[in-house]
Amino acid sequence: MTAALEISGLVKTYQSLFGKPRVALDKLDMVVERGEIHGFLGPNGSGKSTALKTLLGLLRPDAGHMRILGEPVPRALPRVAPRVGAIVEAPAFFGNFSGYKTLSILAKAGGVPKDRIGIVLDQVGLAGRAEDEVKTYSLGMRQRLAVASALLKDPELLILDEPNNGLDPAGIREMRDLLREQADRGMTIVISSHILAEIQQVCDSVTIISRGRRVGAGPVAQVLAANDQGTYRVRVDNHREAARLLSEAGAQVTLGADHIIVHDLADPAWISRALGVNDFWVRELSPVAQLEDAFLSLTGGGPRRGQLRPVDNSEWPADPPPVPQGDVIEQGQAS
Amino acid sequence: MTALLSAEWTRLFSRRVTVVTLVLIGLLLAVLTFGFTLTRSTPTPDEIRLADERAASAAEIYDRNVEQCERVQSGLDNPQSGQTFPRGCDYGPRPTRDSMLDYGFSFHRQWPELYYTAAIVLAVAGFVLGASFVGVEWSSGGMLSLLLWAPRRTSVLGAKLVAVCSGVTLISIAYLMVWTLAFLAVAAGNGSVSSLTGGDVVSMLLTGIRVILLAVAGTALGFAIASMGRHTSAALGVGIAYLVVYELGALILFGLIGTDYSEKYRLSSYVSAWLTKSYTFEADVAACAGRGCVPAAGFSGSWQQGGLVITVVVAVVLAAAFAAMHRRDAPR
Repeated sequence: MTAALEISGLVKTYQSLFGKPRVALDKLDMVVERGEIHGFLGPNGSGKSTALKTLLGLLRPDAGHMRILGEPVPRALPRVAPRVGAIVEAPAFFGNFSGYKTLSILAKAGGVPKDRIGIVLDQVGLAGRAEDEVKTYSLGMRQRLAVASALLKDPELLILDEPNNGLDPAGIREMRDLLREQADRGMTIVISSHILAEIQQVCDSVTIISRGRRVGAGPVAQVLAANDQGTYRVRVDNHREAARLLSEAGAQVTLGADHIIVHDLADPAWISRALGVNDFWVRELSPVAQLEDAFLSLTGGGPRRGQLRPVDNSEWPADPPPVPQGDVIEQGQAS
Repeated sequence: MTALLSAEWTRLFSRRVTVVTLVLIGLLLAVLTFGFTLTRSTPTPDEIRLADERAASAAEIYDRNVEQCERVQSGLDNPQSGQTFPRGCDYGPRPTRDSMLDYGFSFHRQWPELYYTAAIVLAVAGFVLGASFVGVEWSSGGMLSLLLWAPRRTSVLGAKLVAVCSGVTLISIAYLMVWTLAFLAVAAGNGSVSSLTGGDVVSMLLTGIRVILLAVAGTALGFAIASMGRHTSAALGVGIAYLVVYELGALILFGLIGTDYSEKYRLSSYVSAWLTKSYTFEADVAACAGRGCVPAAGFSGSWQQGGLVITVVVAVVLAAAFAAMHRRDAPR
């Protein structure tokens, strides 16, 4: 079976009348297999939205190959669009239209049966406010409406740019459950988000990009393992005394409420030995792998004292490996 | 395309700016009609008698002027020094009782002006509606959302254009019908309806069609400029700049440097020709010869020429808008 989404060597340069051209995507590669929930990550300005917009035909690529559900795009986009639901950037709605009217106009434009409107409003928890004007909605409710509009077509591929924007904790959990439910039904979902803990919980695989290039990709567990920082959680009786011992033995230690975090350690067996010889018996020794660490490591985006880094300014990564081909666009021949 | 068109129709008539425009046009109609009803009265027999006397006196002067002009132009008489005559000895319509009853509303006499007023109102309303219909979609990000549903850009823009133009056509037809009926009702009060002939009715119908087509042209123009500028204010800015900088400013400049026939460079001249069926472009300087002074070699624009110029302008701007839609990126 072909992948749900394939991007290979995608190049997009923003031309400027007076300024320098800016390369937004530099031979970007990405593959999303069918039926998985895929996280699309990258710092601000790394090219995530540009990649999604190019994929969906809103921007014209300068070079590269793209396929959605096996169809080459942008050529086959009119054919494949009814099978793809998407929200890109902040959702835009007319304030004086009701939620129902907003969706009914989209349904009419896309030839979607009217009964889908009630179903998706119910799915995103807006059924009770369907007849209210959108201008009375909170940011989170508008976000739910945007997700509802993307689900309206009952798509095979769902692309969501920051779907948790403005959602409260309960809303985030509901969204997670909704996406998992859709994935269980066979829908492929691509989520672009900055909430890395959420991505780690809900996604099966991720693609991490920086400066318009892929710098990491694969199943979440694999990406975490590949970027293991040698950080371990240790639970032991009298953990304060144990932390002092490990620290005196040369380890970098952070003291938690009921545990110890040991950093930059090559071999976890060293902890067992160091504590065992002093009659401390380890109850838990587990790696602490966070997607955030992997993300910052791959994008070179760790925090720097006294500096704000509003946009991606990491070093250029090496040339990425090739991936399967789709629609062929030669450099300078954007259609 | 049909599904898109249907969706755009729903969107057009659900939008607040459409409703506000309809209300404003309706209010204008009500105010004008009410004003005529209040301020115009049925002429009394004395007023009619006075108008007859004035008309007879004015017609006498008119006939004398025409006769003198024709005699000079045909070489039978010599002109007095610097005497100026209109081209073709056209002194305008001959004065009648109706034209002297300026204190009594006459539908028969005034319907063309009423239709020309309607044309301006509808063309401006169409321009704003057309500009807003696509401009706000671009500036709010609605166009981006729509393109995710319908990736064929030309179809999307085409459906929007057809929706707003057909919407304005319907609004214009309804507006003209109500406008005509309202003034006929006012005219019925002072008894001036009975003077309408079959020819007048046909003329009103043809003028009405030209008014509606002008409103559609204004709509398409506003739509195209806002689509290229991706904002409603782009069209409004270009429209105001054209009127102030070009129609007024450039013509003052033409006058200062003594350019003849400068009116032929104004779109408003062709709009006038389209509405009034003819427009005469005359040089500023009259040529004085043995047959008196007559405006130097003028020429007339017909309604067909006016229509052609308007069509070409609208077609060129629309083509540019569709080309921009096809070629440019569609960011927010």
